[in-house]
Amino acid sequence: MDSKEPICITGIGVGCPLGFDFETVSAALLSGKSGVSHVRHFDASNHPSQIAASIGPIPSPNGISGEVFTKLTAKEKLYLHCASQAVEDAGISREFHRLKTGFITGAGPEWLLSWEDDFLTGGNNILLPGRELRPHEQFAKEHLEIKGPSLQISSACASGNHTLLLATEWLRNGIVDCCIAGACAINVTPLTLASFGNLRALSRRNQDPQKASRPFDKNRDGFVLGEGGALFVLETLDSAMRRGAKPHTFIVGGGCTSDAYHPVTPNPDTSKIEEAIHLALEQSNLKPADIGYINAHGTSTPLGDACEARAIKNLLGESSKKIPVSSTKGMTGHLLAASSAIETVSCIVALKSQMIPPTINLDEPDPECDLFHVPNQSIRHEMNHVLSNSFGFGGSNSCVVFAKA
Amino acid sequence: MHSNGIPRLLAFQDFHFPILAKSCIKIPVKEIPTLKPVVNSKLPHPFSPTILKNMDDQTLIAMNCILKASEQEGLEISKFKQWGLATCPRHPGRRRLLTTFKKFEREGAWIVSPHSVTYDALHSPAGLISQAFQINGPCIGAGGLAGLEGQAILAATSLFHLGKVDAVWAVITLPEQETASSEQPESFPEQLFAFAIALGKPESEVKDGVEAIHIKHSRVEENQTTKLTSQMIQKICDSNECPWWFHLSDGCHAKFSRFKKEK
Repeated sequence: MDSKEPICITGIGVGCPLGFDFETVSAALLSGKSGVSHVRHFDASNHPSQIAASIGPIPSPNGISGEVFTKLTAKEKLYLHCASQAVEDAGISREFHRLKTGFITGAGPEWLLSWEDDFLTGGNNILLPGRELRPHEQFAKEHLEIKGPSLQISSACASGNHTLLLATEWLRNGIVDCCIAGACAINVTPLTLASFGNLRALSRRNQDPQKASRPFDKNRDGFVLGEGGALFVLETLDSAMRRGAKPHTFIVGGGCTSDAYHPVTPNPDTSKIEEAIHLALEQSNLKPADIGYINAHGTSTPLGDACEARAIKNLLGESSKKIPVSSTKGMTGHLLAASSAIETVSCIVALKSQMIPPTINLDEPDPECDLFHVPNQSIRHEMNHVLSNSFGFGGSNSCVVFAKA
Repeated sequence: MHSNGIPRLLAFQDFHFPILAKSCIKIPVKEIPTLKPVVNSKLPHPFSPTILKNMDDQTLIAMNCILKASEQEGLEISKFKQWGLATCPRHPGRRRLLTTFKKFEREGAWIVSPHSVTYDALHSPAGLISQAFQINGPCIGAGGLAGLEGQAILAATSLFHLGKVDAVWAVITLPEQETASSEQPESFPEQLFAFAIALGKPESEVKDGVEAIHIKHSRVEENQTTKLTSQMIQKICDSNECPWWFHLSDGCHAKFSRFKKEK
């Protein structure tokens, strides 16, 4: 298969604090709606950070009994919801029996989540190493009768973009006929909220939850934990055309690097972030000026946002003054392993609507982050290509360029 | 051809990745504390005492295995900048998490260690190894659960197109002789196993006799396959040959052998 074979996304499945379908999430993103509130599903009154973008009850897809659905973990439900919706949107479910379908998902500490869930309800699975844990996406794969290779990967908060780029390569190499890729994350648990809180990574603006996540703002004090996710059906344009499926967007290039600097702290020398963006542009055969919008990683941490802004300015030079940049984490919270999956939805929203979702709570831009921001209100902007940046703990950088379909 | 010069696979075509180095080791858990400073002193970019102290045992043994494989084959450990890495630990951090859970139950949120985020997640070993060896290509965790070890190899062989990648490391680590039961609930593994393999770019023309890993993206006869267990990996490392196909994922298998051209 040709290396230039266009790869497109023909199916989207999404679930996050802003909604459980593309249209609802799209409207919320463009209206600058915040999904952040006080944590209510457990007692967080003794936590350093008591706020989060929690997902709430996950809807049951058609074709599964209520009894079976109730017994699934929240993450299994979310994977099932997103995968079912993506497959239905792509109109591909009836063809699975004749297709080799890949399933590439982004993960975090899956065992921690399972053990925590069990321990807090009186179990002792953490003491029993012989008890095998199941990947959370496995139920969705079996329920949808998807046959093909699976990969559960993690590059921390950069995972979602990695899944899309790996899926693109599997498709171009003919390893699979189509591929489901993306990530789902249930992050707002007592231990995870406490652990990130004690790491001093989270905002402690507990009195004003909806103002807490403020990427690139001078008064930012950390990120807000979020949860949710998105899965996508990827296939070659040729395959989509044969099926009569309409692409939502094209994945035209990507680049991945590692800082190799520190387990948590971003490298003040931003050359590896710049290299990831450069690789993405190079693979897309684009110049910086061809990018119409950058969906920033922009977590709202003092160090991270400043590093990203510096990298964008260093690499894109004069063009950076003309390319609108926003971070949607003010609305969705930081979904960790699933952050770039949900931000792929933001990029598709931008390309389809020709509107850029805003960075909410950006009241006083940090002089160290002097980019062409889109503060608080979405703007209309013509664009053919958008860049999505994602950077993770451990130093992973992943950047993807999407094109208008 | 891809922009970085790697030939594309054809649909369902088998492919061969030359093996540049490989090694496997077993280390008793009780020896880890004394091993830590020894391994750290050999790393191109040693860790601070704090990071070394909090690092999971599986990460340490993974680095030791990379060092051993590199030494055996004469790979320069300071020249991995343009490499990629995929690591498959098996749920690291169990001991720390158990302590954390108990402390949380007793003393509340403020006592919870932030180290699980840093050292015990699926990405953590890859992040730390990239730092130790200054690997600047894509470095990811894969699998992470029992039975998913093959995903480290599948992920590693998929990394060549994600950046400027000359070669990749795939590293599998897992605990052995875990004997915990309801009667003796707080037992932890007595031994840790690690396997590290360095793979070169996939080649359409591998020379006869070159040691390679053969990836087959299609089904193989069930009686020709086996699981990727530590015992089987040990056999491969000892004999350099293996007639079995290892299951990597659904419809995806791998075999270690000396490359022979089809006549």
